[in-house]
Amino acid sequence: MDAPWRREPGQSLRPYLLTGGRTRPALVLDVADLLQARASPAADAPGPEARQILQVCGHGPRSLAEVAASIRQPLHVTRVLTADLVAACRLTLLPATTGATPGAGPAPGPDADALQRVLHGLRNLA
Amino acid sequence: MDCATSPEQQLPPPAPAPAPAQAFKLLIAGGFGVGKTTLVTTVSQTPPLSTEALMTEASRPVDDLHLVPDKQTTTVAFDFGRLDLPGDGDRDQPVQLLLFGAPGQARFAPMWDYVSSGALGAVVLVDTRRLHDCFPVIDYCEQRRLPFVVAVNRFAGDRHLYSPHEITEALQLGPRVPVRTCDARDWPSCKAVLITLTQHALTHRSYT
Repeated sequence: MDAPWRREPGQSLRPYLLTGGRTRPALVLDVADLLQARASPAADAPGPEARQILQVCGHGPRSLAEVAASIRQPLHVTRVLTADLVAACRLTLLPATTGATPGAGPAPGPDADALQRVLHGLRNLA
Repeated sequence: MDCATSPEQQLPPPAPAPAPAQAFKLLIAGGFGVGKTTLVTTVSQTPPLSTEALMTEASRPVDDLHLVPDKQTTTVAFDFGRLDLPGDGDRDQPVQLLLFGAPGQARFAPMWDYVSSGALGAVVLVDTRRLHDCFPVIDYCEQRRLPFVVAVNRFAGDRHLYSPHEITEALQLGPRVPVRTCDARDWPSCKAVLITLTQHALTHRSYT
C-alpha cells in the first residue's frame, strides 16, 4: 500500500500508531532483559520498527534499553513492539535474573557468584 | 500477527546455548554537568545512546513515590551504555553491564527506580563545588540498600583537592561507603571505580 507519510525522514509517525494504539505489552519486560533474534530473516518483519528490532538483536543478545535506544523509540513503545516479537517467536527472551517484578518491590542485585564474574571480567579488560 | 494477542503463551525453550548472557544494571547518577554522559561514553563499548522513558512509565514498578509529589507525564532520557565482559572460557556466562546515566535531583527519583531494582549498584558522581547536588541520590541509595560508591570527578577548575575523608565527612557517609577520585574521561580511572563498586557490592551483600 502506498503510504506517503512513511517517506519522510526521521520520526514521522506518532508512537501510538506504531503500537496500533496499544500501551500494554504482551509480556512484562525489564529494561535489562536480553533479547536475541532467532534465525529467521528480518525481511518479513511485520513493520519497519520490528525489522529494526530484529536487526539489532541479530548481532547478539541486546537489552530492551539498548533496543529502544538503537531504534530511537521510547522505552514503552519498544516494549510493546518487542513483546510482540517474543510472543511471535521471532525473538528469544533471556530474562534478567534480577529484574524488577511489578508490585513485588525492589529486587535484590546479582548474587556473589555473579559479582565475582563481573569483577574477574573487569580486571581482565585492557 | 495472532500470537501477539496471547499474553499467557508459553514459548518453547530456546535452543540450548552453552552460556546465555546475563545483564546487570548500573545507575550513574549525579548533578547537572558533573560528567555522567562523559563517564558512560568512556566506559561504553557502543556509541553513546539515549533511552527515552515517560516519567509515569518509569515509576511503574514502584510503590514509594513520596519524593515526587506530582506524577505528571514527562519524557526523560537516560544516557545509555553497554560494557561487555566476555566469559572466562566456555563455562562462564558472558555479562553485559548496562549503564544508565540519570540526573541526581530528587524529582528524577522515578528514573532511579527504573534502574535500581535488581541493579548491581550505583556510581554517584560528585563535583566538589556542588556537593549538595548528590544528597538526594545518596539518600535514595541508602534507603533502597543499593550498593553505591562516590566518585569525585576531577575538574580542571577545582581549587581544592579534598581528601576522600573530607568528602565522607561532608556527605555524612557511612564508613563503609567507598569514596574515589576519578577522571570520567579516562578509561582506567572509570574501570577502577567500577571495580571498587563491584567489590563494595560483594561486601555489601555479606552484611545485609
